[in-house]
Amino acid sequence: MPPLKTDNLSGKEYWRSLNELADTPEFREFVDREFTNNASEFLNSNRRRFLKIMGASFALAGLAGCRWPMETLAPYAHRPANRDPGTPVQYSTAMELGGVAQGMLVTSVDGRPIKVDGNPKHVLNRGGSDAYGQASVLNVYDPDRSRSVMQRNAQGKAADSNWATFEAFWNEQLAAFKKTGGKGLAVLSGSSASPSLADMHRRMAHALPAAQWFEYESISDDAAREGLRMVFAQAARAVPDLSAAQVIVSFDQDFFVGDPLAVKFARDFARGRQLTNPENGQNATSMNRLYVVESTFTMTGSMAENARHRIPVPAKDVPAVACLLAAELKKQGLVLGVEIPTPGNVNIGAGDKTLEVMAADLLANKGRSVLVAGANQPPELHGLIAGINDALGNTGRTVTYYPVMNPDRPTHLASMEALAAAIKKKEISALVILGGNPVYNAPADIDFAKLLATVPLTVHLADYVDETSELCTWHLPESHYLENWGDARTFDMSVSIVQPLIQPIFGGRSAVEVMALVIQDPLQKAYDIVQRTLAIKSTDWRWKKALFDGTVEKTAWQPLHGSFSAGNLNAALAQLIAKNAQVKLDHQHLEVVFRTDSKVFDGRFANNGWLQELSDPMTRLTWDNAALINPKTGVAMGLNRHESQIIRLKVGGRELDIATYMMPGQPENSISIPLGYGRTHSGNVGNGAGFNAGVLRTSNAMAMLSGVAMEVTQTPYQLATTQDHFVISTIGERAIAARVPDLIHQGTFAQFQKDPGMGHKKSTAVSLWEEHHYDTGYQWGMAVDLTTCVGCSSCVIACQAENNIPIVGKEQVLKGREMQWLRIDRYFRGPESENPQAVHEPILCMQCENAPCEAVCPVGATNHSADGLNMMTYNRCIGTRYCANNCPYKVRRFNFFDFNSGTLNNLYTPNLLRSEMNPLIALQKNPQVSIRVRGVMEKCTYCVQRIETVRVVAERQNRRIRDGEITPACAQACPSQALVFGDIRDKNSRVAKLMKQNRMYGILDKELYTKPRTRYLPKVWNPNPALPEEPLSPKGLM
Amino acid sequence: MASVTTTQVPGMTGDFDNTLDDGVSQAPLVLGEATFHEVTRKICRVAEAPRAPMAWYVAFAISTSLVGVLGVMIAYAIFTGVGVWGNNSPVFWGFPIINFVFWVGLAHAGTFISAILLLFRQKWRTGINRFAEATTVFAVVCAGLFPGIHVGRPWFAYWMAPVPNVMGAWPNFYSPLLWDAIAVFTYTNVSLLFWYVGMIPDLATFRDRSKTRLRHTVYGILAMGWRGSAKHWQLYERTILILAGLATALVLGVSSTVSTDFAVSQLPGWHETIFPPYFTVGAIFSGFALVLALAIPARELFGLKDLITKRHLDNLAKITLVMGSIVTYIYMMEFFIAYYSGNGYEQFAYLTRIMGPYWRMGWLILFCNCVVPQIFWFKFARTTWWLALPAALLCLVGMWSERFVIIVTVLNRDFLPSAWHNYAPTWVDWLTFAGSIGLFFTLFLLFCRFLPMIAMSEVKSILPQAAGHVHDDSPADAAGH
Repeated sequence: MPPLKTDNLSGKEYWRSLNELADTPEFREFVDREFTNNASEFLNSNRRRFLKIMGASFALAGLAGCRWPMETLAPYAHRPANRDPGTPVQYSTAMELGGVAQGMLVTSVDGRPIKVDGNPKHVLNRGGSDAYGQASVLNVYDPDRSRSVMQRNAQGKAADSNWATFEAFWNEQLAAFKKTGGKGLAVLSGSSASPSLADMHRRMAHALPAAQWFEYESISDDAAREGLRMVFAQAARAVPDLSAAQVIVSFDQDFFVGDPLAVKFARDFARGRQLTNPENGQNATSMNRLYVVESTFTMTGSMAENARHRIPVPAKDVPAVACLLAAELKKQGLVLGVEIPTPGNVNIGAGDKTLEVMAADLLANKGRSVLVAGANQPPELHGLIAGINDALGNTGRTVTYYPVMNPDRPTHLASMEALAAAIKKKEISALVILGGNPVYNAPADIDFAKLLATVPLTVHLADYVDETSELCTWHLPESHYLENWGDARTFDMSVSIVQPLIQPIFGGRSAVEVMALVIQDPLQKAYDIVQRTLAIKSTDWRWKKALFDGTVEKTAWQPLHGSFSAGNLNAALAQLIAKNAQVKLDHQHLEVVFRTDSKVFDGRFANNGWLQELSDPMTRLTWDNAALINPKTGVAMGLNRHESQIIRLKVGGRELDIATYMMPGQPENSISIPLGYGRTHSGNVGNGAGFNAGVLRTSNAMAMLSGVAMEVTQTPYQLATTQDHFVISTIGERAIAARVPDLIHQGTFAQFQKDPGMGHKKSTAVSLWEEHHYDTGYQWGMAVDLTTCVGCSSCVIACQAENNIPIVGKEQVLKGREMQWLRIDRYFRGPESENPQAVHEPILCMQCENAPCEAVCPVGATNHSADGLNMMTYNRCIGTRYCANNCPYKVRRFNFFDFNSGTLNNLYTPNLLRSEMNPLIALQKNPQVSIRVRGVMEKCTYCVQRIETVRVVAERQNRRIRDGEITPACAQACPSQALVFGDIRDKNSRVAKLMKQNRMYGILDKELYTKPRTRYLPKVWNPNPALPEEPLSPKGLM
Repeated sequence: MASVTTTQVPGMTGDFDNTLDDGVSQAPLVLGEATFHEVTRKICRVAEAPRAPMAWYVAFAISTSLVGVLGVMIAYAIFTGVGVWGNNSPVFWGFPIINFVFWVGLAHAGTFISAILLLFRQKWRTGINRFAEATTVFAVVCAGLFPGIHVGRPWFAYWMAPVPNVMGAWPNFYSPLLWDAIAVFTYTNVSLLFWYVGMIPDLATFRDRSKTRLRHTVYGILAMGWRGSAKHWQLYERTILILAGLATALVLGVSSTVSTDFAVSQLPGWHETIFPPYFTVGAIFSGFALVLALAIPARELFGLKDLITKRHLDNLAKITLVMGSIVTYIYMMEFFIAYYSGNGYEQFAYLTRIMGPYWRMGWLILFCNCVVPQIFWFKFARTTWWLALPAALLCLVGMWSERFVIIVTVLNRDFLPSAWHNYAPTWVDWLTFAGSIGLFFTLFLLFCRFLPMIAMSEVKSILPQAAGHVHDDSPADAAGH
């Protein structure tokens, strides 16, 4: 690192000086240089390297620190005056995704946010969080983020600029616009739940009445809004309460991925499936039941009770199946206010019986059931579902309708089409794009890139110099939500204040601030604007309380009480069904369904390495998306069953080359493709990962597309999955089928009611030696409930963020060298070619009391602690890897390379020639956890740093650690609370109450007598007795 | 011990078939002109010739190039990380450990010949024991290379040794890797000592025949002042006997200890009580195959057919056959016990060996180690170089493949199917392996050129003329006859 100016650092000057010092060209250059090459500094400079990183972090912490004295705020837990250096403090804030705010609780160390978790007080999160939220902190420190204002000259060449230049430039433009009332000025915004941004919109409409405002979001909940508008005369948001429902029916709705309410859904769903309450040890007397009709094998589908509770149909047939169900309900006596058209022949195989039973189940649970339609389904289905829910008396009980912001706005698609039309008519002379990436994700037929080039002045605010920025006159760096003030509403419209934790590292501004600049608002700082919008002064106690709680009190809106009326739904539904019946699907005319990706959402997280390397819960794919094809269809069309190859999908002159992935449980003749991949300007991490399905996505086919032809090429493609990397031979499959029942105990709710022990037998193994008895002090353990785990993987990212786990890149994942300490295994159940189920099993270190890893280490680098932890001493480890060989769970991870330094592209370059860790990335690292060097083994520690932090406090207060005081990162993140950690010796602890259950089992405990501390509650299904499981083929589980 | 009268038949040369036993007289073990002087001359001329045969230079050039490659590969791995190899999760051990076990096994024939055959008074061993011992030392050098470089942080590999230190951090004595380190360390020392001490009288011969100052000095130092006095001989014989006793234990002990690296773990396919004898027998099997494979070209190349006779090849091949048959028996036992155990994990481990992703390797070892040695039932095959040499080489391929299969097919599919992952070596792996072969041959070629390749003093003791020179009860008798 170049020398910093360090003179005259005293008193108040201190902060300014740090600012200046960070502004020296040398320092800027240092931060800017992506790959610093300090070839002369090899292994022996560790201490110096450490000091440098600390130096850099201190400098930037100083930047952050300069913010606090200027703007008073109330921190969450400690007063700033008492803030100790190095002591983590937590602040509440909010993250907006898909137009809904999630309440977050962010851990900050010395001014740098290092970990994002759900805010326990927030109505949506209740402490849980999803993978997007967990991973969002990494984006703050992404070296690829946009670093400065950029101006593109007439020749299309971009040059660095600054905010002052842009401001001066814009003021000139604005003066001209003011004369015409803003004629020719247009703003394109993403979907936002920010009251301040809405306020800015209003102010612009007032100041520049002729200016236009457009909104576009490529993954939108407009279908639901419009569907509910049909039947409630007002746009609304349906919020199902899964915890209150006994019977849940999903129509292509994936509760747990991509939905802004996924965290809430997971929690509520799990509440209805928790068989033993850890708080009091009571067993449940009822359990909810899930039926799924879906076009893609999703996590939700994997939670269906058995194969007969899940009907895979092409997406276009989902409304037809809903009509069949509605007809069945009517037949069984339900008074339904919607006319149900008779769908043409929809092939749902054995689903007829399922629908009959489903209808009976729904009728038996009036007011305690809920039907939910997916966002990718047409408005008519949402209307129909609302009608069925209404007829079943569910409205207000299991489903609530909330008003939405700006209910009269056109749909995102209509808005985008209007913008395109305006540009074509040359009506737009200046376009300000607030976030979003329309060049990448606008409908392909609009050809936004071409249109953009015809607008004389284009301004793009974005966190990355992305596909859109590349084509705009101005690029403005956008601040991260952890960098700037803001506000946002959640599903019940209560407002959360977005509280920053760090000064914008690259000088970015938020959309609200840019709007303030655009309309020359008297207030330019988001901090002031938010206070004005909310009409709360920062000196007001309500402001402090809002920051403390994470939500502004009494801002939630009342749910809608409009009454259902079918209105024009009847006609629309009949038309939809008739239209869909015309669509024939066969091998020459396939259907393509676009899905929200479980990792990169719509592509906005494409440059987030944690998310790219997270394996998709269903496909286990990392670093790629793929065309998910039913194996039967695939093989019939000449595709390789076991190995991926490139296919060409063609429709209406558009073509997409994409890799195949055979996904059991997909409907036949229907291909699902996750969106958000194939980015070209996302940054070093995301560029080139996967395939851009957007090229097939046109304005009349944003969710699904039919009549697609497939051309099979013989080009092989390597997909990096973290499970089943290779073709599993017949004996391998047979072995899996034979052993999975031992690895995943399972049964039905009926069995559980008869015998809560579920026939589980305790291990009868005995030790040859005198065993060590762990009967003093604390004895840590974890209970994992397989019934409530939905596989959402937020725990995996939480672990990665908390424990400084590096990413390794696609090539290394292909080699099986991924580093995540916690993984979620996915096993299919039932015949793969037909309609299997999937089970998710989180695997972390079992902290075996008889740990096989410990005995074999020649240097004693892994040992057992008195409180039952299997500990790893990194400094002592020489890397024989014997422990990992002997670990039957394969939870140990080895640093085959120095994954923490250089880049993923140069892992094979000797250390001498590689750069050290990027100082920016170093800022995210948790200072309580060592960064592991290459050549050492690492593993889950139950977050020992958290245990020790609490232990120190408890011992100083001379008391025992209370139950719940320590929560490992995974358990904290888990929205469904499937992971419970605590002291198993303390009879009153939640974990002990679960451990006491007879059905609790340890994986491989019976076989190897490892006495694991991480134990599992079996997977329990609740099939309808009228739909018993069909006998499994000899293959059984696989 | 009965004194033996070996008949010298004039005109018997290297191609003479001395493998027949007529039941009356013992077959001659030294052919050609079997006088003390002639033996000395034949052996010394290899080292004293001003130029080695052209083939030696070619072989040496190739071998040293490979050593260079080895050095580069090791440096690359150390400076970059062990990720340059194919090792992954769950196959955390790959080529380095395969090669380690393979080389340790190869070392065993030398010790077996020198120590066990010595104790069993097999006189034919004298023709081959010296270079068999040399293969031991060089193979152990190659083997010892790998545990050091295979660890993630090789600069701390010495922590595996019980080095006293201020932090009081000791190795974990429960760990088989520690036992392994100790076993290999001991083995290196004992085999090196055994080899060197046995060479002293011959080195003295070299010294005495030296014509240049340099040779005189170097061999003089190496010969440690040997004068051939009766006292020297007495001490010499006693030392050799003690070392032979130690080495005998090591023959049985080292591979047994190496096998505990696997047997003490709990992976199906590794966790087996049969492993210690299995590894030992496999080691001796591969070691004899190696000696056979080296003896055939050596006797051709250096004109030593009179000393390494067909009878020697015959005996080597017979032992290879016996060991191969035991290995076959153990394979059968492994499969049987896996079946008989009723343990699904155990059964799967063996099925996947021959039906899983590496089934080709599985069948290859069954062919090379079980079928190929069976041709040694036929004397024609035992004594015909163009049959014996390929067979021996196939046995070596089989034993290397066995190490591969034991390590890879057990690790790549253990308990949790979710963690299954195949293994593929990288170019670095292959070049490192090739480099270790180069290192072996470099050392071996240097040995052939500059050291007494055959134990002159011991060969002389089995010449008929020697019969009268020693007393029946002398230690030399036990050692030399």
